[in-house]
Amino acid sequence: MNNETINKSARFSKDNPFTVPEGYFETLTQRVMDNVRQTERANVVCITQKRRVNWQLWTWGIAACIVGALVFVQIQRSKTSDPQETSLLAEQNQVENYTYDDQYQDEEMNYAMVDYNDVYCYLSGTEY
Amino acid sequence: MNNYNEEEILALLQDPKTCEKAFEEIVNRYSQPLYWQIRRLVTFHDDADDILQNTFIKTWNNIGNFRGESKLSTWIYKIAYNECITFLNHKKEVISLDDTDSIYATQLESDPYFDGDETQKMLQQALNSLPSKQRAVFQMKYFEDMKYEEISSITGTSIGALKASFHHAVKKIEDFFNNND
Repeated sequence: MNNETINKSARFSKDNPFTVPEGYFETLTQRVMDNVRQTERANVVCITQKRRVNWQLWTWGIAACIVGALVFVQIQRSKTSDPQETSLLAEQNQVENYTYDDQYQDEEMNYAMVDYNDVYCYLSGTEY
Repeated sequence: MNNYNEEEILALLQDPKTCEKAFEEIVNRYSQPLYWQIRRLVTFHDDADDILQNTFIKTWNNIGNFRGESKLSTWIYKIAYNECITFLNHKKEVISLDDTDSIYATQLESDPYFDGDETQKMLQQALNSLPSKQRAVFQMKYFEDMKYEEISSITGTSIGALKASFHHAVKKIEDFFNNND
């Protein structure tokens, strides 16, 4: 179905049946501009201004991310160097060393078939 | 300020000193064709004037978001189209379906800015009975001879859907005339 069909069947033309008040178009641009000027100027920025604002936002955003990352790393570092945690770690290491030393000693003494009493007598120079 | 092409107007818009003057050039250039497109969609002068003013205010407020991906005129027509659809949908929500036809006919009868004969009145009533978007597609295609590609970029609807919409609109208008003869 095309335009000719509708023209023929509906019997209407494309003539404009509408009119406007006298002088409407002569003052239209001025009235539109008056309305536009009354809108909140804070919201209105020209193309370049808006783009510059966007770039500023991007720059600040990236800077904030970098600072955030640095702060995060610093916090992690300070956590690991916490004195309480450090002493705990030292204690843990000591226990592990003791355990290792005792185990080593026991194995060596078993191998040499001596006990702590033999070692004490040897070290103090007393008779067994 | 006259005879600037679109690129020149866009360049003027980028300079804060000439921004407002460039916008005035846009208003001067597009206000009349936009008015008629809006008027054909909403019928009455006062409504068309309000929508036109809102269209330009929205254009001005959002000019910084225009990235030149489409023609400036298409972008402005798109804003106007959205304003019209919002207005028509709101009007249909406010007035119940039973009353719509009779209220519209009465308003049209008493409208001092409508010069049409009986056939044109019937056509306006037939158009008023169409869904808002279908009416817009019919207006743009039939009265303004716009290409489907152009209508598509304004409405955001595919060309296939636009063709189907136009076909349905024509059928409904024919039926309206046949039923009211």
